[in-house]
Amino acid sequence: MQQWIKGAYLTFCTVVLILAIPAMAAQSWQVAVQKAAVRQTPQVFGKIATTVNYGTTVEVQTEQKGWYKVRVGGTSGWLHSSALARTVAPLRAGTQNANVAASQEELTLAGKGFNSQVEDAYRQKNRNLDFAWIDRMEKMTVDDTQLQQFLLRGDLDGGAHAN
Amino acid sequence: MRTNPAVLCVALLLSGCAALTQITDIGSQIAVSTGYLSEDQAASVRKSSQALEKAFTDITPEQEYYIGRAVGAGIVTSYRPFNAPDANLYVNKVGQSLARVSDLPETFGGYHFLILDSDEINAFAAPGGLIFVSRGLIRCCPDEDALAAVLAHEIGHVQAKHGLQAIKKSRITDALTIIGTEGARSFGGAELASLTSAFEGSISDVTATLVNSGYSRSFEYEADRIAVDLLARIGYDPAAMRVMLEQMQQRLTPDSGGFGRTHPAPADRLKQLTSLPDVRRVHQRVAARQPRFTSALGRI
Repeated sequence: MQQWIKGAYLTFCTVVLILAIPAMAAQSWQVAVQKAAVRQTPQVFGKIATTVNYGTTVEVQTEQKGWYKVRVGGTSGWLHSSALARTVAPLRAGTQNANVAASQEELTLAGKGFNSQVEDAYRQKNRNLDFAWIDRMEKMTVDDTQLQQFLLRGDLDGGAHAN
Repeated sequence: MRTNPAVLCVALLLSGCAALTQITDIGSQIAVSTGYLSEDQAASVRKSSQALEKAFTDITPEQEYYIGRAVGAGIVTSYRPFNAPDANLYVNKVGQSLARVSDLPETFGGYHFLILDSDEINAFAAPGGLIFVSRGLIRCCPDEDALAAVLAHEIGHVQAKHGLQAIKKSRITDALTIIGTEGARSFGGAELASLTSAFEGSISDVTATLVNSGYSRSFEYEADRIAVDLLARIGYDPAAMRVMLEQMQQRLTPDSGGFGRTHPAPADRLKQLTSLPDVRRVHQRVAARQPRFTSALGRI
């Protein structure tokens, strides 16, 4: 009897998980990083189809090895899963399917927690801290072309990696 | 009362996903009603589920970014940056290439690397991808592959969110309580003060771990394993990790600060990696990378 119950419980859990997978694929997700590249292929240096900003809603279609095929503003492409979250901002009523960035007000609300307002208060209390160098550091970026050249000239093959 | 490990495992596995907590509840209720779990065991399953929901994973990429900025500001205040644009650009090219092939290529503000003007053998990975490496540690690197091993180890800490795990859970609970307050669009004075206090505490937890106590050995070994994997993914020689650690072993003295205080001894780290054949083999230096390494960091 107990074996039967154990089997029923495990079956129940498995069925729920299986049912949850297609439901997840059909959902609208949001961009959880400041800016991300939607690529034509699921590769780190795939050609960029478009770029999306924080809070933009995308329609997730399929998943492949850590990449999600998404549709946004009439364009299809691939976003790495680390750029997406189920939701970063509450959507306004009636905008569930709209591929629009959330309003500033919504982002402020969603960003409640450790956000720029809290950083400002923290900086007021800790005026000796050198945030200027952090701002300079964040400007140290290397674009796709520069990185690909760097890899190529260094006899490295990161550009071919599919992850 | 028999405890069935399979049932507990399944329940705990399910409990790892926040959206499935309700399922865990239903499952544990069934298990109790049928005598498979005691009330205490079921409560434990539910508690595990809630704890996982409320742990560091509740910190969003945006909040991780602000924590990382503040931790980084503390680091560049204690250790002055090495103001050499070419050297920093080169380190960013190596580091950002590695970050691209990691399991966490996208963070809210991206990965950025900065050399610290310090002879101490040290490096720090602030949450979100701000990574700092001292001149002293770069001197342990005879070539680009060894530098890549250092940076990949730090990326490993970011990818595994080790920094966030240093934050006491009570801080996050406090913050969530405040965030959960409905109504206000931005923080009022009292809310902001409480949240800033939770923020300060979080920064203090991460900084104390990075600078003073160090992560657990298991976290360091995990970062090493991630690093070796990243090196192989992009085409660097994983054996460069061994070369770098051997150099570090020679340069660290008993009274060394930095890694001498916060990390397992290089010999212990090497022992953990000896099972990996790619790490044991003879390191082959690639000629195409040496001129740019020497040009950017030769006089570090």
